[in-house]
Amino acid sequence: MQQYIIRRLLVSIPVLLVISMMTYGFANLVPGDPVSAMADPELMTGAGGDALRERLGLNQPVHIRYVIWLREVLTGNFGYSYHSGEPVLKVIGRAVLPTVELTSVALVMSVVLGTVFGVVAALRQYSLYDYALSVAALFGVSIPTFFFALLALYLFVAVWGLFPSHGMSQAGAEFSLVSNLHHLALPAVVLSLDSMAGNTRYARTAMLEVMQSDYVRTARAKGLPEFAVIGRHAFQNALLPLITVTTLRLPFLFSGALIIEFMFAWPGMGRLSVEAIYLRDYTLLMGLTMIITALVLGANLLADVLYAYADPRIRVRG
Amino acid sequence: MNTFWKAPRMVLVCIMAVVAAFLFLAACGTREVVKEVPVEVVVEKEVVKTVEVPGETVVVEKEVVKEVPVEVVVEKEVVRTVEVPGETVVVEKEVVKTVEVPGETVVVEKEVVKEVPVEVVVEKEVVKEVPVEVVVEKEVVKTVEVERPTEEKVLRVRMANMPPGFNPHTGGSGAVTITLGWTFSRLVQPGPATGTWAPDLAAGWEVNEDATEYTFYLQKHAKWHDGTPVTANDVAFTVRSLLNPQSAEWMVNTYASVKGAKAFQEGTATDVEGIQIVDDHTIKLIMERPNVTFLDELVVVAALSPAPILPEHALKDIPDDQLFEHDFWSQGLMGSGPFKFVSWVPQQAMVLEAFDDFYFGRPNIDRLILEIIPSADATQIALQRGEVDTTVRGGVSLAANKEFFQDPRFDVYGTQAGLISSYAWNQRIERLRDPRIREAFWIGVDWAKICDRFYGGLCNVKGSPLFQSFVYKPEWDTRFAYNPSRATSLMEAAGYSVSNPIDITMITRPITNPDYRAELAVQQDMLGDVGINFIVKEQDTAAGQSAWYDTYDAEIISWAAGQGSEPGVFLLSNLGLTGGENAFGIHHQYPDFYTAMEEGAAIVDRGERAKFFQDFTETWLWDILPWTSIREAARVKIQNNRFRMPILGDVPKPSRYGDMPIYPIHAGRDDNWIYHMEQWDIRQ
Repeated sequence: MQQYIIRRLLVSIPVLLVISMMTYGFANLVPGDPVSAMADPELMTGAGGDALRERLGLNQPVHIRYVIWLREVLTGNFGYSYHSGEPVLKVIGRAVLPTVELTSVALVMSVVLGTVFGVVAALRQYSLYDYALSVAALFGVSIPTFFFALLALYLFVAVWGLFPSHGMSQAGAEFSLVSNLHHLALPAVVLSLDSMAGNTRYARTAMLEVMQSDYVRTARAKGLPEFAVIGRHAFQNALLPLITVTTLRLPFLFSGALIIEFMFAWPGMGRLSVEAIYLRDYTLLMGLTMIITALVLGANLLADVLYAYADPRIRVRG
Repeated sequence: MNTFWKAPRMVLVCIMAVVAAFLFLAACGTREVVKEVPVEVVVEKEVVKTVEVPGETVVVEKEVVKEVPVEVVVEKEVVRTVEVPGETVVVEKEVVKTVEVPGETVVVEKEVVKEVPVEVVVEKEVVKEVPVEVVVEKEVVKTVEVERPTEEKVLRVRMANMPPGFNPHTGGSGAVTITLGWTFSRLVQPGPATGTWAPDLAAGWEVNEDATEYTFYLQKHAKWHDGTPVTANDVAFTVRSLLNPQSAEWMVNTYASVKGAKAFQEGTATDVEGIQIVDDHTIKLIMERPNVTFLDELVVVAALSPAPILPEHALKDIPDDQLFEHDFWSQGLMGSGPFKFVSWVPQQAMVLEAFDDFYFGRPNIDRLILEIIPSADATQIALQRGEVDTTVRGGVSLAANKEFFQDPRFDVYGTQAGLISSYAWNQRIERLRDPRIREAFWIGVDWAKICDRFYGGLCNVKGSPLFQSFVYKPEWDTRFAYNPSRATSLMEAAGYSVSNPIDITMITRPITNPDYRAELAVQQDMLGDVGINFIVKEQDTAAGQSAWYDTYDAEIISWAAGQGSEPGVFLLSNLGLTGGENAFGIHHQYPDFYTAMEEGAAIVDRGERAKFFQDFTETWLWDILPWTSIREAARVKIQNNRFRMPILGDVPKPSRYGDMPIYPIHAGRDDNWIYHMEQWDIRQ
């Protein structure tokens, strides 16, 4: 297993390299650059930004800039944001925490509740509960997140006034955990709905399949209590597809949820990424891309490793 | 029998757990209310009466000690000379010590020394709390003054977005300049009500007869937020900094009229020749040539606020080439304006607080919190719930505006020309050079109908981009009135028709406002009827700007430049040549156009200047038509009516939305937002 992990990590290096080249190249192909994004074109006086371009190194050819960027990244220097002048890692670090807070809560809710609902629906197949949960799950995956966000804003904020409309805590006040959780609740629930619905369907399908397998029938025939049949034999096997789905969603923990961040004014990686694209902040954009790419590769590896642990049939062959 | 998986119960338990957690958060996380604990000031008044009965003679002495600090020994020495007629002279010296210890113990010490000349008898008597001979009366009056609890005045302002830093050297965006206007001083500030410039950091200024020298007299008591006095050196530093090509690229035009600016920018001079520091609070800026519009030039790039004055002592040690990236602009802002920078968390909020030593007096508002809320829906709800008081950049939909207009809790008003729309044409493109096409494009759309439908009637069609200037003639409004038959004729004369339309592509920023998208669809429909296929291409700022300024391949763009009152400043800054190039591509066809503009801008007499630019509009501008379809709409402002902005007075509330008050502006689109902020108030 150790060798397998090392091999996968080594394979990740060229993948990262190719992705970095492609991102850098495409970002620079898009019209405009950080300087042209700095001043509002409506307010421009026509004064050239060539001196600024030169000082920022933007007058160099793209491939030279890429090599310089890569050389610095290999020494751990991800560069500075063209617009704020802050180190890229600092800017990303500031956005990562709110994102992780929001997405991890949403992910946990969606996995736990989605699994429970799916398993329950499977165990009570064709019951009223199964139908209700299936319909709810169908709505969950069909209706876009922004609609739920608008609905939540309208009902829970505008009509009932139960939650604040924006932000991750009260601006200008000392940080308070209660205030933070109060601000978090609504966006986290809305964010979790989509994947919760998906998990419910996955869990239901997986559980139904497992419940009809021979070994479950054998376990029952042996006279095992239902608790052991379901908990030990069925549920553990039904977990496999959920592990895949969940681990593949792990990068989402860090990449942010743009729509929710926008609707609830939640600071995070989603808004930061869009801002970096709009402002042509190449260094920030590259920093974000590299981190998210590394997370995706890491999540894939984790999924494979967890699979091996969850399913005894899967073993690495040296 | 399934004994464990009680499915219904499990579902119910899960749902109830989620709902319970949800409700718990809803309940426990009530909005924080900051209450000030009443301050108690205790004034202690103590009266001590000492009655002494020394044998036969009754001496009553009263000593009143007021506001004696606790644990302080008060010593009183009384020297008395008593002359007994006949033989004896008695000299008596009496020392009374009153020692007060917090709590209850009172120790009174009395020492009496008597001197008898014949036989000197020294008597020493120490009395310590002897109730018979010394009566100590202590009366303690405690007055508790309770200050009226004052609620901190906090103004919460919403902005839709904000760049991560606030560097004025590159800060061309309105959001940045308005924020800088709250924290930094300007030499002068635009006076929206009067349409002139008003004192700011410069308490006064003089312009010599031929407008070649501007002398600014700075506020004597102006201080930076760290307490350092603001001096003329700071102004000189600012001029140099904003002219320095190492630290500033966009703002080079701001002080470009100062004598020696060009040589300094090009590196052939080490200083700007036109800066003369007269004394600590007086600075003279000498112009390269007569310039009546220098004050207006200070607002050209900033658009909303004249260039801020920067603190020399905080910035002088930062190398020029590092000034741009320095975190002073994001985390260390220090100005001399009404509000002090406290914190800025990108994507979240900026907190400012009142500057006690502001030269116009401490602002009434204690804290100003700028919240970044990108969503118009969340903004609408935040306003309705009182989570924010107003929104300064980025509004809500027309429907929401009308809803707020009906709500008695809100003041809804417009600022003149808050939304300026026009189309700027790239005349490098051969087929767009025909002025008939541009005129047909303008008069082929019923702008009055669009104003009524999409702007609630708060919109006017204008015949010249100089509509904010003193040169504008009201009759120009109808110069390009809707005339579809003439538009069709013009297009036919140019070789186009409904069956053979011309494609004209406009670049605009990504449209987030559905009202605007609908408005564009109406324009496309109307233009289609006169033989123009109007194509709208949405591009972000960087791409659009690159197409317009760098590659020159954009055909037309939507244009909303701030105007200002001086026609020469507006025209030269928008149509002027930079490096021999012009963004509109009209310099090759009309070389004399630029000479004429410069001549007009240099006319010192205001009346003559007005006459010149009126003629200029009716000849040059209407012939060349660099801009078409010019209209200005009021920018609708919504603010909770507990927030008072004195310049607005009591905002009237007419019954019709279209009759809402429209406030004038002077130099920018929102200059009431940067005018005497110290006078703003929150109604308690």
